[in-house]
Amino acid sequence: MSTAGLVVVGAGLAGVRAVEGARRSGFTGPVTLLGAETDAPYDRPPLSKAFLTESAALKVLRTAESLRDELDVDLRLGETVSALDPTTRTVTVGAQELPYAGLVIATGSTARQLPGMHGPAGVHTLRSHADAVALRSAVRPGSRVVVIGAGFIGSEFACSASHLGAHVTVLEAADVPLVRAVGPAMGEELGGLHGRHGIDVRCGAVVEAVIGEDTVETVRLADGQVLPADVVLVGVGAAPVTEWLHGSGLTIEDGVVCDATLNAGAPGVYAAGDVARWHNPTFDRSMRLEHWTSAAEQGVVAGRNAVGTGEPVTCDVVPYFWSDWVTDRIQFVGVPDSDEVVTVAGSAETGDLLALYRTGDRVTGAVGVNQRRAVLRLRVMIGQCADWQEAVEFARSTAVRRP
Amino acid sequence: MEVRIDTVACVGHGVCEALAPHIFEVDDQDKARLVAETLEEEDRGDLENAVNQCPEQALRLLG
Ligand SMILES: Cc1cc2nc3c(=O)[nH]c(=O)nc-3n(C[C@H](O)[C@H](O)[C@H](O)COP(=O)(O)OP(=O)(O)OC[C@H]3O[C@@H](n4cnc5c(N)ncnc54)[C@H](O)[C@@H]3O)c2cc1C
Ligand code: SF4
Repeated sequence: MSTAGLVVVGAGLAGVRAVEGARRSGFTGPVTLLGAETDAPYDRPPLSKAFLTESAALKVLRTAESLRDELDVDLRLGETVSALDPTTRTVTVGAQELPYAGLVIATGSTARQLPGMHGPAGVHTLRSHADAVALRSAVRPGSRVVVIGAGFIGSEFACSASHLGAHVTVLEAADVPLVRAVGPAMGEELGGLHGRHGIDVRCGAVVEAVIGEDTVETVRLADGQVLPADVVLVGVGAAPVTEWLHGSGLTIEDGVVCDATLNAGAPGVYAAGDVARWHNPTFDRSMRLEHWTSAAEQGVVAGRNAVGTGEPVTCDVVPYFWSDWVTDRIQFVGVPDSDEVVTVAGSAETGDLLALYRTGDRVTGAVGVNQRRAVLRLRVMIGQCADWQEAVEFARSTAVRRP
Repeated sequence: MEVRIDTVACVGHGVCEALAPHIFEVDDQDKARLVAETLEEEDRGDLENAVNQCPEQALRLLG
């Protein structure tokens, strides 16, 4: 048996960054990267955007050759890890017990499903390359598309489908869209963006059944309304992939619970990306993010800490995500709960919103529509615990205003 | 050491500027550009971070 080195479970963004982080910290021992999917590690954000609207090619994060040759990684695609035993320091892959010295859990998340609604063909979720391929061929000019859930992925998909000439209706059970991501005030405000893209969003619409024998025909709402549908996208959030960790003894609470260094509570075991719930020192609280940038940042930290070439470092993150609605870019930094949200410029409907979130006398969040320069600079200010008044003045002077 | 910005791929997230404001800036066209006149060896860590965290893979570090 070969000597135990770094084992990374999950070959997505966080997994790739973990491998890179380990190598960059000077680790020269064996590295194994295992991924359930057969594609080389690829980028997910384009799947709801250019992959659909421009038939863009799959964007690979790092090719298999580059992982094998440049980073000397034993890349094992199409292999699913089924268990972890921290006492023997092994993971189970098929019939093999693979030993590790350091382990990074980077199994990401999967699209949540609605019980009993995924039977007929034409009902989709959007998480993987395969999902996007299926949707790309299903949506045609004139298709009747029903999106269940007005979250970011549902909204992006709705805009992309509408751009392709489909007739799109979005159903949202809550009274306001996007509340969890941006809070109630800005959720309401961003609802104006759906209007800007000509998309019919029905809030407070509870789906009761998806009807069709072999193929979907209609969607029935709790109030009795029936909507004809050729394509249904269920976009009701993502769940961390942790089933395989049952019996490992790790604490799982909507994600793998980690400390500030991303350690999962067992020696040498770290987690990163959508699957990790860690103590974020920047906000002194536990959080789990489903954002590209933090998955990348956490991956680097987890990989480095897992190979233990130095003191473990903490993972300090100011959350950041973006969402592209064909031509409009929404960006959010910080955390959505606050004492007050102040609109500094514009509105979502006119495509030039900039708003700041205040907690006490600090700026703790910001949201912008097509305000790229301002938002990322505010991210730095939030990380530096900048004073509220200073942030407001900065935002006022940097905001782009549309005529 | 040299850093290349692919201005076609860059869409102005500004992650690079947030990580290394003394090296990168997002201009009015929403494209990153270099503000540092020369790159020092001590900038390598910041540069590698920016290269890895650019969501569009628009940055490359040579040398
Ligand atoms: C359609 C779409 C659009 C998005 N758009 C944006 C956006 O605009 N902005 C933004 O900030 N974020 C966006 N995101 C979120 C972002 O892509 C994720 O946060 C990021 O992919 C998380 O990376 P990860 O490595 O943690 O997980 P993943 O990318 O999910 O990778 C995990 C990998 O692990 C594999 N795996 C799971 N279980 C096992 C196992 N037991 N054994 C082996 N392998 C396993 C999975 O197959 C998967 O390949 C989007 C996501 C999607 C799906
Ligand atoms: S992070 Fe990448 S995409 Fe964003 S501004 Fe910098 S180079 Fe451009």
